[in-house]
Amino acid sequence: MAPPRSLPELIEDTAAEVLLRVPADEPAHLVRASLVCKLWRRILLNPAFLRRYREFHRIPPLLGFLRNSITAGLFQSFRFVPTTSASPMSQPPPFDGARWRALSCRHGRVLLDTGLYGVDLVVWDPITGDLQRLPKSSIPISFFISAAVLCPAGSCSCNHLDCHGGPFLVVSVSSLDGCAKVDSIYFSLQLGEKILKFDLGNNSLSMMNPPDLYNCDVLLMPTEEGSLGLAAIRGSRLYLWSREVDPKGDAGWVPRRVIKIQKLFPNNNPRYRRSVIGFADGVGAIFVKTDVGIFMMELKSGRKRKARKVSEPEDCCGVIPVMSFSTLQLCNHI
Amino acid sequence: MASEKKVVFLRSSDGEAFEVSEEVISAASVTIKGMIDEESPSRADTAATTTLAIPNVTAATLSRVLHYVNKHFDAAAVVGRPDDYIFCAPGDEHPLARFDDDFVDVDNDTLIDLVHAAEYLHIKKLFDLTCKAVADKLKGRTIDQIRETFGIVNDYTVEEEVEVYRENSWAF
Repeated sequence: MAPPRSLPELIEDTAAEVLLRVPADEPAHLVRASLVCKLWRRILLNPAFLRRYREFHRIPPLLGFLRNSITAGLFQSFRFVPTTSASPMSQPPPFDGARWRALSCRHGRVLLDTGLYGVDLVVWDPITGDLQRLPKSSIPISFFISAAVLCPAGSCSCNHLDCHGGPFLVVSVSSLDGCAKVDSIYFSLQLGEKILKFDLGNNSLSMMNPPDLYNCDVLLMPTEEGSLGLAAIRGSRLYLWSREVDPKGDAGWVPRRVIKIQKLFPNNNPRYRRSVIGFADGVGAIFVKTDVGIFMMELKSGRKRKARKVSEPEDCCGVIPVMSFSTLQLCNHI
Repeated sequence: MASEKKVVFLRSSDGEAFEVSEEVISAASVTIKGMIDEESPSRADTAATTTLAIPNVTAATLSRVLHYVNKHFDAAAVVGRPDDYIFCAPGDEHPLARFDDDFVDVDNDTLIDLVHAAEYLHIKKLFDLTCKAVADKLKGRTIDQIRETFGIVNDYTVEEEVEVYRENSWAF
């Protein structure tokens, strides 16, 4: 019998083309592949290959989320909950101070609020462990401080696939819940009654109203098309809206989808109010909290809807998704 | 255009000849387009049919490749965008996505032969498709299974292997 056709018989370039197409959703697969043979390891250690891999897949994989919790006495803490089958991310180090709350994770950096009696922001790189404490803010104590960390370069000059070690920009407001798009950051204020837009281009602020969703917590998020979107749960339905500009140039909210969630996100107590507590941009995964658990579901259109429980509900007051290609750099330890 | 009706014959490594539209194969394969362009001056005034030797591809594989090429070119012609299929990523909502899925649902040897053929003939979309199919086969397999599936010899020493496992224990 003829021996099986062998991939190493192919020139190195072809093996690289195969490895390039290994899906990014489970970082462990690529690391395992590096142990198959030395040729594959050499390919996977090549920085040019890793750069190509990031550019080929474009959307960083969702590694998990930082789960904010309120403990007795309103001290806050967070821990990392992986959503992949094997995770290289370890739990956050034992930071000093009593209160640590994750506010934002974007472009490979996590923004934390550590202030016990005021706002004290720290930027943490979860892969390298680097910590950078920001100058003490003059923002007064507020339970609803919100802030976003991001790469200061616009999307035209940076694809944000490998910028997590560089400079960063922090935008902070006293509010709740933020959402960054290409050119602006949006914050929902007063538990979703107003939306504040911060234009990164000219550093200007403007306000807008959310759609008419009485008595609903809303979550701002980018839509698949790249416009500003909004999700809210009312009763047993999830409502998705997007901000559209009509031909006359007037901007307004347009209802996009209504999803029945009774079976997707089950409730023990029918009176418990489910809420949308997080969204992973790019992979399009939404996080919903019920009294049964924290559920994650991909929202991308055309996919069969499937929700899975990723955490227990107790004490959870918000999730910050962590998406990054940077785990691939762990291959460099080989 | 008269050239649209022309056909060429491709002779596989084991001597079997396959007829294919010149327009179709030129659009699909950079390699064969180059061969045809080289031949063109000598056959411009003759009605003789060109036969091109494809020494690196067997009849079984060439037949599959031409099935793929004809299917994609025909479908592309129907929607009026000859290049459309080139931009169709596997898994997209596309009429040919199902065909592509079935096309690469073959045994490993056949798949590797198709990777070789797509690379040699320089058919970009087929190369993308087959490389992706091989990559998907790596999922859910242990390292030993990957080596066995693709006939790869483990060239790590025991000491190296232990060290590499230790450094990456999270992935196992």
